[in-house]
This record gives sequence, structure tokens and C-alpha cells, in this order.
Amino acid sequence: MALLNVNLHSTPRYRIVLLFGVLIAAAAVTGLVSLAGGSVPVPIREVIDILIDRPPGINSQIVLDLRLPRVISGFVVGGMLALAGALMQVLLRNPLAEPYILGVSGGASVFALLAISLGLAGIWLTLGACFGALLTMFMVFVFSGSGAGWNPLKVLLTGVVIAAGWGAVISFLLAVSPAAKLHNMLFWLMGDLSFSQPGGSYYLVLILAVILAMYFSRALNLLAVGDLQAAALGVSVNRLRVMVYFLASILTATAVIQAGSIGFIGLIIPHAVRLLIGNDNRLLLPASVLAGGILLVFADMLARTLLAPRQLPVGVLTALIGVPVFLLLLQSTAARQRP
Amino acid sequence: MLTVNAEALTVSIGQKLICRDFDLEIRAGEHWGMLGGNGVGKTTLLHTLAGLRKPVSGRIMLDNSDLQDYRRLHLARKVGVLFQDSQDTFPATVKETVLTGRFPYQSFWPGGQREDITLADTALAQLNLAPMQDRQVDTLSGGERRRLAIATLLLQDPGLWLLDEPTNHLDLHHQIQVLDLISQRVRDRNGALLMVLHDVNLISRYCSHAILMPGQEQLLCGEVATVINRTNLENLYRHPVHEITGAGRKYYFPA
Repeated sequence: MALLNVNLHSTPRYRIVLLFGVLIAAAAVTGLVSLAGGSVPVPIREVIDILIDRPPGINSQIVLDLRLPRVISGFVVGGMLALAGALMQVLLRNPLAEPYILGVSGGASVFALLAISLGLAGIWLTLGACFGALLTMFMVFVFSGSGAGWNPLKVLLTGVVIAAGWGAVISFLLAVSPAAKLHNMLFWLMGDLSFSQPGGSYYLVLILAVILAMYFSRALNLLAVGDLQAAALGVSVNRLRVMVYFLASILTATAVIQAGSIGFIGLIIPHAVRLLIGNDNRLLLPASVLAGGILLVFADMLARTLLAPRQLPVGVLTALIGVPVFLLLLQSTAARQRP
Repeated sequence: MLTVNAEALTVSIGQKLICRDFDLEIRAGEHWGMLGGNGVGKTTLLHTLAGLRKPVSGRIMLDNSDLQDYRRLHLARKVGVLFQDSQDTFPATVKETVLTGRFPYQSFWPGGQREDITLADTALAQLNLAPMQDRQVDTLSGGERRRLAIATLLLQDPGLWLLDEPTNHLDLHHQIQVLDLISQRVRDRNGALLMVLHDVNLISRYCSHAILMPGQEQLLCGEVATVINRTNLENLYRHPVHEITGAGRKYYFPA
């Protein structure tokens, strides 16, 4: 039983609009607070003025040039990870699935670390991560025989084994790298938004993915009931699976390229949203995008401010915030289920 | 007018051949029962007739078009399947689940179309599930889940009904209620029905025709009155069977 009783057949429309309104408002507030906070605090009122008028000045530069791209990047990456996680869970029919489970981030990391150890930076890092992610995506698809027919368990096992392989290569690279490069490498592995490239069109990937995911959402609801059941009700199961697999993988790859591997969001956000509003993908997928974005922006603000001017890896904070919130949610739904 | 024609159908699962060059015609108004021991391939044959798996050779014609040429969504309006069991990794509520039966008829963003909800309420009431419509599916008992699957099929409203052990988990009262309801719906719709059952007496009560599957690729088809008798049943189950007559019907039970 979900905490809020929301469903598309009996909940009044205004309550669903309200729910998403609250999420969007929360995203806006988190964004504003995040633009204000940092090693140089800027009052929220001034942040709003800066966003509207774009006046010249040092605060304006800090907010618009330094913090705004990072906040947007945080929101987009968080949304991508949450969406990819929710899709993976349905696709693999496994509640423990998350974006990195099939090794996409491991593959990206290996090639990004290779780039770092070769002394390359910037675009080469991105290209390396991109190559590693795509390579893994195709490896899992081919080795699990998914071209011929999809077996969730086989895909999961193939992905987990390939991820373990990448893990070993990562350890090897860390072991043989000189100390001077280790800090950089570890930060990349833990995930950090300071790598994110300003500009770029990665947010288009998220917009496109949300549209596609919403288009698939009804069929995904049926997929959760069972392959044959879905097929008998009119879903082209294999086609849907292949498309969702590549969609989730591309989302993960884009997120990893932007920010390294930020753990936890892709696993916990979809489940937290499931506990809140249930398993209907038509609501779950868009709500997860918003919640994932909010969590990552908030965590990144804390990462920048808690020990300022030192920055903490944002992945540490997503977990530190996410774990207690999730446990509380789990408790309160469990309490509601008791007679 | 609904007709299903299996032409020279050969079906196998793994290395095992289930039938070879099998011909079958199911016409509107006919109710078929399928009987056979465990593992002879009843479910596989049923899934093949539903277009969910490809035959090794031969073809299945539904209203004069090959089943494999249908678009999935279009086929789902004509053929409905009741499966032996369902999964619930991410369970939905009873009401949400029963509404999935309308999938083949809905556009991309259906919201909560009023007619669909009326249909859902009716079906849930008919199957005594109305009081639990907001429960999660994973909290239902086996029999309640069975009735939920049947309610979903009522919403799908197909012409050809393929049922895999519809009375599984159902108590005596619900067995009769459910089979009455389904037969009535199939008749109203001028559709056809094929169901796997392990209770030969239910088959003679509800079916006009029967397929007996004794194994070794043999299939025995025909009207219930001709194919269901003591000799055939003893051959089918390799177990002695008694026959008694009462209330104008023949009943069979194991010796």
C-alpha cells in the first residue's frame, strides 16, 4: 500500500496536478537555495533578481556562470539516474536493479580512468567514458543473447559479471597509477558534478527520454505483470524490451559522462516514489525524474557548503540523505499495512 | 463469424514433439475442453493457438488471416488468454490490474475513461471482488487472484477465449459461478472457448467439444459425447475410471 492513495482511475485530477505541482515547486525551491548557498553566500532575494535582470557584478557571475550550470546539471543527472533506475527495475523485473547494475558505469569509469592515467582531460575524458558505456551496453546485449529473445535473469547475470570484470580493471588501474593522479581518479569514481561540462545538449537526452518513457509507461505496467500476459494483452514485448534497455542504458551513460558514478539515486528514488504513490509507471516515471533531480541538487549544495571551501563527493551525500529518508518511508508504509 | 483453423500444425517444446500435422477447426458457439496428463503440452498448444509462440510448421488461421500476420494489439482484441499464474514483483491494486484488460482498446493516454471504469466495476462485482478493489494484488489469496485474472479477461472481451485451468484455486461455488459467467459471455458474444481442465465432469458440463491428449503426439478431437467415454479416459490417464449416470449426465471418477 502506497503512502498517498494516488491512482489514475479514481484520484481526482486536481490531486495529481497538486502532487506534481508540489514536486516542481520543491525542485524550484531546492534550485534557488542551491544557487544561494556556497562558499560565497548570496541572499535568495538577490538570486531571484539576478535570474530575472541579469545585472553585472561578481555575485551575478557566481550565480549565473558558476552555480546555475551546476544546478541544472545536477537536476538533469539526478533525473536521468532515477528514471534509468525505475526503467531497469521493470525491465529486469528486479527491485534491486539500478542504473549501474549492468556495468555501464564500470565500463565508462575504466576508459575515463585510462584517459586520466594517460594525462588526458576534458573532452578525452568524456569520449573515453562514452566509449566505455556504449561498449558495455552492446557487450551485455550480445553476450546475453538478447537479440534472439530476452531473458531478464540472463541479462542481469551477464551485466553483473561484466560489471565485476570492469571493477577488477578499475582496481588494477588504481593500483598501478601514481599517487599524483589517484585523487582525481577517486573523485571521478565517487561521482562529482564539478566535471560537468557547461552548455552541451545533454538535457535534451533527458527530455527525449521522459517523452519516450511516458509513451512506454502503459505497456511497462503490463510488463510488470508478466511477459506472456503483456503479450496477450497486445504489447510487442521483445521490441519494447530492447527499446527500454537502450533507453535506460543511454540515460545511464549520459549521466555517468556528466558526473561519474553517483550511487544510490537510481536505486532509492524509484523505490521511495513507489512507496509514496505506488507502481503505476505513468506516475512513477515522471515523479522519479523530479525527485531524483531534487535529491541530487540538494546533495550537491551540501557537498559544496558543508566543509567549504573543501568539496565533498556528492555520492557520499546522496547516500547520507537518502538512507534515513528511505528507512523512514519504509517504516511508515509498513505501519500502515498493519491492521 | 469467428472461426479458428489450425492447418497441419506441428508444435514442439524443447526436443519434445507435442503434435504433428494437427488439424482443428473451432467455430463460433463451440466450447472446447482440453484434457491430458501433466506435461503432455496442453499449455504449449494453448499458447500456440494464442499466437504467443510459433509452431514448428503449419499455420493457424483466425478469421481467414494467419495469426502471425496480426498486429499484437489487434490480436489482443480477438484472442484472450487466461494464464496458469501471474507475477507480482511490482504489484498494483486490484482495480488497476483489472483495468489492464482495456489496454488493447485504449489510446496512448487513457486517464480514467468512464466506460472502462464502469466495465471494471461490473466485472469486479460479478466476481465478488468489489470489496477488495483497492487492495494490492500481492495480498490476495490464490482463488481471489484467479478471479481477478478472469475479471481482467472479461474487460479484454475477446472473441476467442483460451483458458489454462480456469478453476485452479477456486472453491466449488466459485468454479461453477466463474464457468457459468464465462460460458454466458462467450455465448452472448457469439465467440468460442477452449479451456484446459483436469476435471472431466466440468468439461462434460460446459463443453460441446473436447481434445484429449494422451501423449506421444496423439490428439483425439471431437464432440464431447463421442470422445469422452470410459475407454478413452482410462487410456488418457492410464488409470481405471468408473462411470455413473445421474441427473441425465455421465460422471467419471477414479477407481
